[in-house]
Amino acid sequence: MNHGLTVELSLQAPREVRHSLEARYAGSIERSLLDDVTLLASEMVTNAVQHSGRPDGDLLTFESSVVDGVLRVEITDEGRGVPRLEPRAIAPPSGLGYLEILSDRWSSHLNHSFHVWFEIDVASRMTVYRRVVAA
Amino acid sequence: MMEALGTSIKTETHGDVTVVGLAGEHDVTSAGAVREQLGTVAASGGGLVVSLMETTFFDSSIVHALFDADRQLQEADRRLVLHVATAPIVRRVLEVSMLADAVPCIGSLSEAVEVAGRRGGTA
Repeated sequence: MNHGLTVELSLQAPREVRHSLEARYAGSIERSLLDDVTLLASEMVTNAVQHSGRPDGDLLTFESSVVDGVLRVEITDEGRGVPRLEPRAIAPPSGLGYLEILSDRWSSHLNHSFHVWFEIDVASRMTVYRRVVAA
Repeated sequence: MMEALGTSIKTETHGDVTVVGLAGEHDVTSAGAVREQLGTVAASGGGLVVSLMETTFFDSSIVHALFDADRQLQEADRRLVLHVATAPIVRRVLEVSMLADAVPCIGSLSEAVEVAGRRGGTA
């Protein structure tokens, strides 16, 4: 269940990525999981658009996969400004703070390009979901 | 007021309460217009209901505009009220952003308008 997309940096990029995720995964993965992935991906792309320091039209790469029960999303841009993202511990949480709440793990690194990724353990979440539904 | 790709900001008045309806997807593309509209209503001295009934998505930029509007309203002894019974992803954003804990979320528009019209808290 791999998926890849290259979009131009612009204010429309988050919407493009959301719609692409919907087209690729609707009906394939559980709705609440897709909603979380869509929200997180949208926030990450928005962060790249607003803070990468790159001009509109620069390219951003979006990749997602589901392998061995782990759904992984990685976004790459050509920004050089921040070595590593650190969400501020504030309330209400920022968009990046949502990563802390909704993903099982996430990180970012600068390696020629800037990469930020998150993972959600699909299998364990589905087990919890089924238990709640059955209860 | 604003219409792009199924996204709109609609306003209607109920006495001294303004209902701002956010239809479609709202994110950084509409955050400036949403913030401006909410700020104008909050500064008018009347009550404010934001209806998310027709919202299909909203992100943290809209969440922050809503929190800021609530802070502005509190200075005038009022509270922001959300009119909700919405798409699951919208409920998820309300939950994860803590907005659902911070402001009244009401499923009935008439009740939401009534609560928004009160001064001195929402009780």
